[in-house]
Amino acid sequence: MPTSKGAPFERLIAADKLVHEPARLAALTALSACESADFVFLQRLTGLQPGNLSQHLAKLEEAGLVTLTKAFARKYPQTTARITDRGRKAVTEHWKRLDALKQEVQSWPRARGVHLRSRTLIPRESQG
Amino acid sequence: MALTADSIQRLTRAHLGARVFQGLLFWFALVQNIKGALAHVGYLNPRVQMWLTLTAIVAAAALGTFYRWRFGRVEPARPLRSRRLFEDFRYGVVGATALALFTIAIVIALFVAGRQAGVRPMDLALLLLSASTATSLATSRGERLGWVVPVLASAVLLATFLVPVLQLYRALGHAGMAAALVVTAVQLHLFLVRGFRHAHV
Repeated sequence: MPTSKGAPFERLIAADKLVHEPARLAALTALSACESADFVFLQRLTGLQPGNLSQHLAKLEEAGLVTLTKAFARKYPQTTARITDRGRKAVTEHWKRLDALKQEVQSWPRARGVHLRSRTLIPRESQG
Repeated sequence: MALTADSIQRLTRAHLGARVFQGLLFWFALVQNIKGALAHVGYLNPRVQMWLTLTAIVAAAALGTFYRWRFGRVEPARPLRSRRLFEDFRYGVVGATALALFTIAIVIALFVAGRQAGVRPMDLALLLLSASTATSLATSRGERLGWVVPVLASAVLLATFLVPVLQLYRALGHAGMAAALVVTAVQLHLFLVRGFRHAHV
């Protein structure tokens, strides 16, 4: 787990890869706002192919972040995903960490004695 | 739309909110307002009523099926654990009693208010149902001012019930409420379509 003292980009690199992957993060975030969602919803949300999404969900299930229920509605298979308490905690903490990093990076130019001019970082000392 | 926790959660909640216009309650409110408007301009007859009712049932079923096929299915979040515990133990008695008392209070309030204002209680009940349905649809998008259009439409319809001079324009009031219902439903649908299009990772 990242420490709070590392530089922002180092902390970003050290972020929980399992949760940080965009498709898994989107799926976990959506699941944290509802009781359960089916495979079609997660597929529309992430825009992934069924096999790809299936692999991501399997990884999340393996890590204990979601539970998957597979059933048949008439003759068609129906997969429903539900976030676990651990998954909810992981995704909430991850978004908090990302927000903190974002705020820290936004306050960078002034803190480092550098300001933005014409989209270029110019150190204050060299402006004479 | 940037992929943020807020945007994904808003989209999920909007999807849950869209279940309102896939249900019969929304279509019931819409049909009743259309019938109200047609009755006041003299175009309502049994054949029109039958077609309106049939259309509403078919539209609700078709929309529900379409949404499940296109956007999948989401179940709303259950109450917090403490509340769930409360429901598990006492919901049978406390929950049902509270619901019954609330319903009785609403019915009595509608009858008293209706008698005092010279309005049919059924009209007031329909007004409440329409306003709450439209507000629910509007707020599902996460819009802070989403309630403005439904509340304005309700105020106009209520004015045509209460103000004698405006009673001639009751058809307009019903038409306005029907329009508010349709507009909020379409806005929610467009929000969902755009949201799903841009949410891809």
